Amino acid sequence: MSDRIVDPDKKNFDNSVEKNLRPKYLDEFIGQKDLRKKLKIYIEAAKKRNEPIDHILFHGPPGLGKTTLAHIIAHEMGVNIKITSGPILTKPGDVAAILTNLEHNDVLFIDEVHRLNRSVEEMLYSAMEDFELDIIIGEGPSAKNIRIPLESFTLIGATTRAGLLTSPLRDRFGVLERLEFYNIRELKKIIRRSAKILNVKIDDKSANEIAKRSRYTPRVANRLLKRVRDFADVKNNGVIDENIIMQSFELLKIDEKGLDKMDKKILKALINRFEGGPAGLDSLSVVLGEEKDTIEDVYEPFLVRAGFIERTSRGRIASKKTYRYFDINKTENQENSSFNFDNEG
Amino acid sequence: MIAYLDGFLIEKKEDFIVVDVNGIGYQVFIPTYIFSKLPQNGEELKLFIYHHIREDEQTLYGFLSNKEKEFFELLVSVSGIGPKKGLKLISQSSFDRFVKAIKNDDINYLSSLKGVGKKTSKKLIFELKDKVKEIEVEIIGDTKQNTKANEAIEALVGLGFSPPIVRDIISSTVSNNKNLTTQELIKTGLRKLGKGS
Repeated sequence: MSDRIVDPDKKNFDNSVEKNLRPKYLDEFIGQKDLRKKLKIYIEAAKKRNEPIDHILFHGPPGLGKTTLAHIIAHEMGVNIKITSGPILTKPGDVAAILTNLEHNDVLFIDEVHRLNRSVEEMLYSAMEDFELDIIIGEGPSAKNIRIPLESFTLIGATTRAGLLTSPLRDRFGVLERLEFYNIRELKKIIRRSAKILNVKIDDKSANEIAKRSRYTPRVANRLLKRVRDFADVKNNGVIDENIIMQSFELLKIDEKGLDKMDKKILKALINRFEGGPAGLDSLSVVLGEEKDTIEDVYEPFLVRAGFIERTSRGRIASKKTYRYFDINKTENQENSSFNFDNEG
Repeated sequence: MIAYLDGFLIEKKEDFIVVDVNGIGYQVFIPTYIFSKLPQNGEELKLFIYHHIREDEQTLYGFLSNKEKEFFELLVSVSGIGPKKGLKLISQSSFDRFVKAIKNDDINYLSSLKGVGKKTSKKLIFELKDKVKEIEVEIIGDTKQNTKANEAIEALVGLGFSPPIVRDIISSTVSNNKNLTTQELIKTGLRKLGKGS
């Protein structure tokens, strides 16, 4: 797990504050407008019929609100939520024990649902479809099937890799929804709301500066806000203004595009060592001294989405935007590779 | 050789306990199924001891009854099974169930234990069957209720739970309510196992 402040994956230090910042109702939830409308209808309909909501699969990049929405659904339905994750459920008994302890219409939230063990996943099939556990005792002709009835419940699965779900599991979700990245306006709203909860004053321009660096992701926005708040508390009586913002991000080494030291190192490597590309992942990995998976899963998604890198069948290419960002001419650079690779600032 | 220890239970660790006898603390390794039957720390405890001596170490293995200790001595007399492996084997089962499996030529049960293949199961039965004839064990599975309990145990162990823990939970559930169906026993077992995790 990377320690970068702009990494959208969840960190241990996010837990305590994230809990406080989480909205409890759909009306408080900012962004994902279409999804919110649909969920509102599903919740009302389920409450009218006194049934659980259909099983839901939320997929999309980390930090966009999958867990928060699961909490909101349970809260709006007036039921309990049990939270677990795919890798924790190592044996069928783990999920069977959780399911038998659920009460009527409760929500079971499984994060990283694509990482479920095969035998655990198979145990979920009959539970999701018929609200029953199918347990087989013995082997061969003397085998006996025992069915254990369960309370009706809603399974909410969350995954960043929907493609890795097996089709039998995917087919058992009645609602499949992708969470989209947030725009600057939505992120600003989230930052203002969080600042209010954290009891910190912030002006519109400062909220905008944080939003610009948040990689379209609320989790990053909240994390940056907390770091800037530290600066404000120490240097400006808890008030976040433009001056504090600039000082904070100068020290955190995050520029106005949201790029940090490592992002720049990757882009400079592409331009300088590979003449703009295409560069294969293996070669990049060697030059940067980083694992291939880390480059692909941690660093690249934002750089691709922000338009700094293009992924082609032949490898990664630095876009025109990257050349403009470093204020260099593409042809000039290819003729004269004097661009300073080691200066990572 | 130490035959038994009669003293006070001082502490419980994952696979051993410490028993204080007249101011000396003895480290005693015990099978997992005994843990649930132990008294609280500071209370009296008598253990029958298998005292294993090697040139570089001495180890004590403790049991609640003399017949369990005697069976353990028989078990470790089988070639290829030392005290450590022997303890691992009976820890996955229980004394009664293990002896019953040997008496009934239950190769399937024995080879379902970790560290025991078909070959070792056959060897255990071949070498121990005559020797365990005299050992009295609690007969499991005679009554209807025992059949239900055994089915529930088998189901929960099949779901990946530890046999000694499952056995304890089901036997305490059965003793509290004799009329539960297999389904109800499994469900109650799962509830208790879920709350414990």
